[in-house]
Amino acid sequence: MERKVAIVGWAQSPIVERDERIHKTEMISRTVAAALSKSGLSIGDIDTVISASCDTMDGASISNVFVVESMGAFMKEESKVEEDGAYAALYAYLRLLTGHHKTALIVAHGRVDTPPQFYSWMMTDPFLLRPLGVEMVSAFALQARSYLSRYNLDERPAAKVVVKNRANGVKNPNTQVRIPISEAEVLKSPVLASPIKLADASPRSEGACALILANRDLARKITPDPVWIEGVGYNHDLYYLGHRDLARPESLARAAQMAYAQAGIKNPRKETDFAEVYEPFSFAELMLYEGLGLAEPGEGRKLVEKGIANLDGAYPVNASGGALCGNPIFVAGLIRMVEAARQLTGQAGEYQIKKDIRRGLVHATSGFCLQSNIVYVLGRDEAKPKPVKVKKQFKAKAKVKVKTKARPTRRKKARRK
Amino acid sequence: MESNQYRVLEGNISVPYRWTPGDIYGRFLGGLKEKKILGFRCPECKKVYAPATDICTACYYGFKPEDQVELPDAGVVKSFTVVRANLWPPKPDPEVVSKAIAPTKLVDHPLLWPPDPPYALVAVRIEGADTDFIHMVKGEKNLGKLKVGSKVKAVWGEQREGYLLDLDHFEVV
Ligand SMILES: [Zn+2]
Repeated sequence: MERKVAIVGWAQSPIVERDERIHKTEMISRTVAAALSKSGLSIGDIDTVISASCDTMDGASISNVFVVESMGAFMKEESKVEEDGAYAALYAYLRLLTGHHKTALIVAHGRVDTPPQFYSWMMTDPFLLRPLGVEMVSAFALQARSYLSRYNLDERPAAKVVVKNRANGVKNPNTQVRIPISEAEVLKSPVLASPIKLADASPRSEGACALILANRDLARKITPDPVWIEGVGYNHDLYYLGHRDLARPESLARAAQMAYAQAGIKNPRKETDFAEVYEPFSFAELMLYEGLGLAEPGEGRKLVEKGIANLDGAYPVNASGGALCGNPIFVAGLIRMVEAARQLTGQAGEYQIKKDIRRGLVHATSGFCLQSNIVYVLGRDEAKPKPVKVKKQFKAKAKVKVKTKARPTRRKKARRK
Repeated sequence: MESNQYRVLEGNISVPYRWTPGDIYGRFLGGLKEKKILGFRCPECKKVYAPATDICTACYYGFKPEDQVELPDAGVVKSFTVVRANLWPPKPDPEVVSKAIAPTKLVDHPLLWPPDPPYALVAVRIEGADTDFIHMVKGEKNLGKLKVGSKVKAVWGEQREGYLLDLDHFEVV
């Protein structure tokens, strides 16, 4: 696929369980400022802003209206998705492809101002699921059981996913849970909703993440290490849990195939080097291996049993620790994009994948039980990036102005007239 | 000195709603009042949906009342989860809860808050249906026997009013 749009900057707030000291707006504005600083852009260089947040969690209708200032979206064109930030990135990407905009800022923010059970309970319809108290944990538990039963698996492979991700999380200064865990500890942790145990579940988290996209011409001017979007696929399954095959999410496979077709990928295991996936629960990561075509159906376990998905394995998955180490809702998927960009530009510090990597997969999900899925193929330029010292978060340096105001394409258009 | 001298606001949002099930969902829920599980058969692909849905997702056919079929109140467990931990904060003032989340007509229904654990969520393939019905299994005796493949039968509530929980739960047979 022709490389038309690249990631040129990013920032995230450290993922925490709860920070009572700062206003949501400050969390957002600091993150945006850090992303601008990293890319050497100023807010005036941004053409369009797409945000991702949740009205129920914010406790307000169209809750992005309050944070227009903090996002730097005023006197610009702004819109919101009520989905993970990885979908806001899709929206922004498609806007850049139209040629109407040259740069886009994506902002995802998730604060657990209400217990997450309420938020996910309110995702259910009032007639068929809400009276049962169906929420994220119990819904994913139904899916996990479907999966285990379909392929005759026990709970150990999922425990191995937790062990792997938690070991990686220890090395990630931006994540929340940085304590290693053993397989026995996972298996002994208290049951929330069988087969999901406390250690199989992602923690309660909050945070913000910002990502900057630019078109091809500008991307090269902004950074020596652009991370290109080589393909993106997205698909949505049915809502009602009893009307779809929970053990094998169809929308996931379709999203992956769509992304691979754009990127010209036939065998993702061979033609990509690593993946960052959004696994709200350990069991989901096994299903993601299969849906993404990294393993045959029912054989996702092999990636953890043989250490293939480990940080030093042949195909590392969630080198960052994944959502099991920090899961700010509506943000965690966008963070996967940032983590992949860090890896591809050699900026992942202690959890940098050692082998030579050129292309990575990013996955994010939204809704109950992997209902909606989005898959990106991200790639770097052929030349290996020079090791970069990671800038400290929230310490804006002197801004390097990029003259985006020159608007070369508009002049071209005028000339054509 | 306190590092944070500001007040964290705590609040509750109570908003009244009226949700209308319409004809197809209404028939399904009305069937429960009569201790019947109704399915809807797609005339094009013959797939039987229970619970109701307004369209056949295979054909995008819009169901009509005549597509309704009566199914037994029993089926097979396709998946389940036993909820052991109390995932919910303590049940607030019933008045607040009912206003916030319940259809106003049903403010006196006992289950406006998720049930106390342990209970199981189950996906039941009702006999004669091609989809799964998400519902509950309750009681330690039932939970202990619960497996994928277990046969279950509906236990009907005493008071029924055209609501999902007219079918109180399924028991393992
Ligand atoms: Zn049909």
